Amino acid sequence: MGEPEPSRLVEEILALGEVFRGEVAPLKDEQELRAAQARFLGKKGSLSELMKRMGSLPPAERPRVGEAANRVKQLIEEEVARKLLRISALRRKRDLERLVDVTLPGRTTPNGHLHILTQVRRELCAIFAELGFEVATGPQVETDFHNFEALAMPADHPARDMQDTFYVGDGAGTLLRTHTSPVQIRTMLTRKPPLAIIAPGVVYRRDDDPTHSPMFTQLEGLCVDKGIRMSDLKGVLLHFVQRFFGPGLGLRFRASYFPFVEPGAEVDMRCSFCHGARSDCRLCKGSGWLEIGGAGMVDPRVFEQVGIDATAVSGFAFGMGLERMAMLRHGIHDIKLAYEGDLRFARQF
Amino acid sequence: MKISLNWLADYVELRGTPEELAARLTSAGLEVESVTRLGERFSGVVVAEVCARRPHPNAERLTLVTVRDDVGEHEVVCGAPNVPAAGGKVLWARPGARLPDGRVLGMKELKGARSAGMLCSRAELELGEEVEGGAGGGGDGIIVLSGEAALAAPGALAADALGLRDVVLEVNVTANRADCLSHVGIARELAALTGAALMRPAVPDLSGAPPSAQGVRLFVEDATACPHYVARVIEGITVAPSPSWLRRRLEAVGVRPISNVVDVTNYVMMELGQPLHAFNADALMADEVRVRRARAGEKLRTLDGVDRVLDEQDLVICDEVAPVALAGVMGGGAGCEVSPETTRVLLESACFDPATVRRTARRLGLHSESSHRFERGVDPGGVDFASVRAAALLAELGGGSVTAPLEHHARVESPRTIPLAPADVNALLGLELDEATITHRLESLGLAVALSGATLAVTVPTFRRDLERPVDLVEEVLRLAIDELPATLPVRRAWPAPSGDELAESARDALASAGLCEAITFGFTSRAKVAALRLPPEHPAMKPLAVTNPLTEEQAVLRTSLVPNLLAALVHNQKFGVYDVALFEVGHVFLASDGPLPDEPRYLAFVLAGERTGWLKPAGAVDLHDATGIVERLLGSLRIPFQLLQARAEHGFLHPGVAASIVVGGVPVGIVGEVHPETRAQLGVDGPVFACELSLERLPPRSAPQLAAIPRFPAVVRDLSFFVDESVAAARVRRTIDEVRPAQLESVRILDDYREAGKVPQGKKGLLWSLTYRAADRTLTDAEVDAAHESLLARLLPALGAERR
Ligand SMILES: [Zn+2]
Repeated sequence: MGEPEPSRLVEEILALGEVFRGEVAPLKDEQELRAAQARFLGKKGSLSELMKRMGSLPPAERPRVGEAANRVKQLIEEEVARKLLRISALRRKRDLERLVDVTLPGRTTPNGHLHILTQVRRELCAIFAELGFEVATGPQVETDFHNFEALAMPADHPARDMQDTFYVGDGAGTLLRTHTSPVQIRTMLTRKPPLAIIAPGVVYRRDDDPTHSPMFTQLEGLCVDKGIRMSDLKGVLLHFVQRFFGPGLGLRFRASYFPFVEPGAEVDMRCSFCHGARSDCRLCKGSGWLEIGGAGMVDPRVFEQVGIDATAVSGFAFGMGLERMAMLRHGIHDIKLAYEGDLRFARQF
Repeated sequence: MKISLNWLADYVELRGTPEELAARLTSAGLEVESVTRLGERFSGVVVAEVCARRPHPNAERLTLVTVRDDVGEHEVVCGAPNVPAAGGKVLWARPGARLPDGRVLGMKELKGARSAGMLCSRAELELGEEVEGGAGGGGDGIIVLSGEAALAAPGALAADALGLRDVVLEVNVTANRADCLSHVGIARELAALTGAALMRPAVPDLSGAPPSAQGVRLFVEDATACPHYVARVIEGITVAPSPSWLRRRLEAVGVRPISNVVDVTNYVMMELGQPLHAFNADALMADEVRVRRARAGEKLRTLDGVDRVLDEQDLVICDEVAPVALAGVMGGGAGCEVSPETTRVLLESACFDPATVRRTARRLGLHSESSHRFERGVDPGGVDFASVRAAALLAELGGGSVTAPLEHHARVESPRTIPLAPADVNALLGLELDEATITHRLESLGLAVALSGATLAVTVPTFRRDLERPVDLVEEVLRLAIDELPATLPVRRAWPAPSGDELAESARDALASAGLCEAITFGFTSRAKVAALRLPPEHPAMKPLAVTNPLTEEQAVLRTSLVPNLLAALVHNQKFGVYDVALFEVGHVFLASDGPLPDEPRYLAFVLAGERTGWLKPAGAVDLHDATGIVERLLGSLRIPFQLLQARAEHGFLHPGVAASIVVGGVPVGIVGEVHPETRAQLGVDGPVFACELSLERLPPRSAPQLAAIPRFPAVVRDLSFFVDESVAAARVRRTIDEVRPAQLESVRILDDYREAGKVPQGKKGLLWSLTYRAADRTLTDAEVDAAHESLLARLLPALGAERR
């Protein structure tokens, strides 16, 4: 007769621990480890098979066997936990071996671009808004009255020669506005001073050559109130130049003639490239100054046309070309690029 | 206008360099566009005296000449036939001299004789009519100095000896400054700017001149168009070339010398600003000068040889028979012009109505120095002075005698007096000038200033017709020292009102952030591009307003839609190899209206073509859903709920099967779809393109978004999968769900639309929707959701004729 049954069963149970340890030693994968655990501890696993034999033992022996089973179960679970830690450490180590080409372009959606003239217009509107100027608009197809007559340019006025006009339809007197100045007139006809407006917008002149586009963009300014002085005009434009082109840039007025202002002036700013220091500067052609627009005090004739008492208020007006502002600041050499919808141009801004 | 500084120096002392003078004039409103130095086209050419001449031993036609300059004697070989005898003065180009054609001279061997430089001809120095000498030898002779030039010392620079050295300013005179269209006018400005004295040309007293033996009679029929007319007859004159000083001055300011008579009229015009005209008095029929309106259909051959047909508004100078000149514009060229045989000259100095001259000059396309000045207004007070000045010069240069003038003066030109309060000057400018400074500046411009109480009484001479009101005088005070103007900021007394087009700006931002680039295209377009819209002829977009005087057919009409120009921009990009194009524009279109001006609604449009951007490689060709996706981004960011509805054939430029209406609150606001193949073909677009256009005017006003309660209980999602007729649009499914929606249904989303044969019955499509249920006050149970979902299905599927999968 060999060993009594209970002792043999306990030994067999306790041996499972070693067998398990031997089987899982080479495993490097969590799934295989879990499968091995199930083979030993599962419902149909080795331990369960051995425990079936416990039913034939005398009740007094059973606690010993149960104790052994708990011990081996604990042992196997500890081994699984230990093994799992090593497997995950290995997995982390393996993961660190990955190498991605980080220099490939990123995955993105394309960037859109606002037109440079939109950007410049918004910036100018914001700068003048700081000084209390509102944005005003008017139609592009205008009457002769708003575009010329009310601006002290009656028919046959020589100054009309400077603004070759596109006419619309067959009725004389309807035209594509040649400047944004009619917005001044419309504003003063509908509102009373104090007024401070800027009016950006496209205008048209019958001129199409390498340096002229038949459509271009102007920005008009108008300020009417009691006691407005020409020095205020200079201060407003100086503020604009220094905010838009850079601090420290000076401004000069040259007397000039526009029928709707008196006194009238051409406005130059210090060359933003050479600051007047280079006689071979390509931007200012050595003059040290860049022309940026025309300006002046609203002519009493204009006030008369719109029914404003010129003895009670005074005002200034100015006009500038948005393309010129964009060209000077962004190095755009050809005004025509602005109106072709060319993506090679648009994507640069 | 060109101004010669040599000439200008006759009337004012020039203080400063030409550049400094130019800067002063420019700041005062007389913009100097260029400063050109004359007489610097060659160098190293000097005056030399001939010491001896002898034939070349080896060449028959060459002469060996010994000349002397300020250094010593030099041997020169010369091929010209007119080498003067000893004592004659010639122009010698020294070794090292540079000629106008760029040649640099040196020592040269000519048939065995050494030549130091050369003796120069007019052609070699590229000199024009302004230089005398060089006559004889059939034009290929060297210059032999005569007159004043011959007095120059040997070694003197040729440019100095010939008086070639001059500086010419190109001055841009604005339309209001007729008084500055002359040398005396510019001199007056410079005198005021620099403090130098103005010296007007001196004229003799011609008041005692005898009347002309053959009495010419003057009739002015239209005194409004011709308020002043002075005619002087100069008798016994000899027409000849002008002296070199006169020719030189005219050439310097760009006027071609012709003869002493014509040159004097031009000279005095350039000097005083008064256009003059000289007639051959003997050719005037019946010795009559008549100023009248032309008769309709009357003809005149002008000096440029063109036959002009006149109308009743043209003002003409006539003899008894026919017009002999277009008043103030151009003389006639058929008998009454001055010719070499002329001995009796009638000199016209007049003042014509600016508008009349302007009208005729414009109608006939005849812009002359004369019309330019009359259009801007000549000094009515200077008409007689210019006549006297020119008549005296003519008599001096042509040897004739001046007779008594025939004069017509419709009115007395009295100087205007304008009151000016110094306080008003300072108030308008922002300066603090005292009365003495203001007075001094006005007086320096030739105005008379008298004190009258607290204001100044400023009397304006007739040559400053532009000064009418106090504000005009303010400008005069300012422009003489415009750099003194300080910079201040206005004191604003008003709060700015809201302004700007916020909707348009938000739309631009939304489209740019959706990856599109903004274009700005012309407000005009071509008729062909409008036709490519393929809308019915009665559609407003097919009735564009025409530009009356377009430059090209491409700009013949005003745009009624943004799409054609955007498609043209697409074609432009394709031409340069850029095929993946997403462009938008926000701008105005022009639609005919019942009012005096057209409607200019703000539209928004975009075009989309090429391939969708992917990672590393494109993610397939763009299709309609990319375009509608952009519409969603746009209206979503504007917080405007909308629907897409299958459009019918009404959108001519869209493919009838791939076109949607964009509907906001039941109102169609625009369209989106694939551009019609015919439209593409007409505009030359390569490949499929998708377009959208909507009217910003039709979008509802925006309001501030209001916060809805954030859900506190979890949602339950149920999928819904069914087959339905292919013709049933997603929008209809959506609408039907909305109609039958249970209270707990929070949101609905389509997940798939599949039509693969085999997966789907014939003529059907499979749709997969995701429905989210949620209650605001509790967690829904599965049973509650199932009941709601099933009741929805029970009503939805029959309504759509759909079959559950
Ligand atoms: Zn510069």
